[in-house]
Amino acid sequence: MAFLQTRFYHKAKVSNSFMRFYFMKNSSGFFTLLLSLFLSLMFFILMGFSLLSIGIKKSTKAQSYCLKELSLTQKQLGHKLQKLLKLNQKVELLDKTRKGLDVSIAVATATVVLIPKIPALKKSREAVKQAQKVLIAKQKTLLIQSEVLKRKQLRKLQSQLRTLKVRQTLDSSLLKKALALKKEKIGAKAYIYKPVEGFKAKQTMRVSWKLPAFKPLEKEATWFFNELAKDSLLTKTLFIKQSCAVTLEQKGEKWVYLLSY
Amino acid sequence: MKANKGQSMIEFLILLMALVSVIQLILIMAWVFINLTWMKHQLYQAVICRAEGRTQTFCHSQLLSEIRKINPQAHITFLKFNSSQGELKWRFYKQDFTIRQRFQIPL
Repeated sequence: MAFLQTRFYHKAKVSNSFMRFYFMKNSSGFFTLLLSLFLSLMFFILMGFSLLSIGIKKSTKAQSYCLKELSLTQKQLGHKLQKLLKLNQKVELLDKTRKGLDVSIAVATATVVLIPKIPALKKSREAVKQAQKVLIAKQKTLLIQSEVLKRKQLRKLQSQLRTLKVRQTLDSSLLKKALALKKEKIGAKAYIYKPVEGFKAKQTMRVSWKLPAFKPLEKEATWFFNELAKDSLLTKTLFIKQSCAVTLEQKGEKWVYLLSY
Repeated sequence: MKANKGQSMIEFLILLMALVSVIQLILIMAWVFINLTWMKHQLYQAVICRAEGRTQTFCHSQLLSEIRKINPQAHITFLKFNSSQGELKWRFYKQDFTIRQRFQIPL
């Protein structure tokens, strides 16, 4: 009997320690599961937060590049425009002088008394013609310089945007001429340049781009997301569309750049 | 055996409560950070919007709609901006967070 009691007691003791071990083992497993869940949750939160931060940082940087380059371009174009418009007065003055000289030569030819003055008048007219040619060359140089400036600055901006891996979309304003001007003929070979109607809107330079909402790390993933992005709805979800626009406005005699939309 | 099981259960519950509290705290902190980052970005966009010459009403409503995309219940207690700077106050659990933004064309 005593043997049986001892045996039962021993069995119970063994069973008790086994159960305790079993429960502890299970509890530890559950804790490990909870911990791994907790860690993965933390990972996703941190991942989401860092992706959002990267996205915002990239977007701000792209906007900053765009505003900087377009403002700089318009600022320099403003200087060119100011110079070009200043030339108009000289062009008009020379044209009037030339027309006056033409009349004087005609009068001198008709009047016998004034015939000796004809060579001097013709010489003056030649000088005016030369001055006109110089002015035309200056006007053309300013226009060409404006076009070169616009293309150079846009190329710079495009390369800056490429470093951020944004997808640039071509805007029609980039294909227009650097300065929205109309050419008016005032004489035989004399032209003046004037801002077109609605200059502010027509001078606007706009650059648009698409920014991936998140950046996949692998090439395969990029391919996968590009495939997904073909769908218009997903494109809207995966890409943030942005643009920036700068134009010129006259303030007094100066042309100043200002942001537009 | 029963007594041990109870003790383990209590230990486990305490641990679980601590873990839940930590997760809750981290989630709240992440939520606050995400909101602040997003609001700061959107305030910057609103200032640019004004600098572009759009109306105050348009930029204001756009800013609020963008903020509400992330946090539809966002309690904005103060909002003022013009074409060069802006200030926004967001209240979260009786705590006011102030966000300021300045904008200058980076020339």
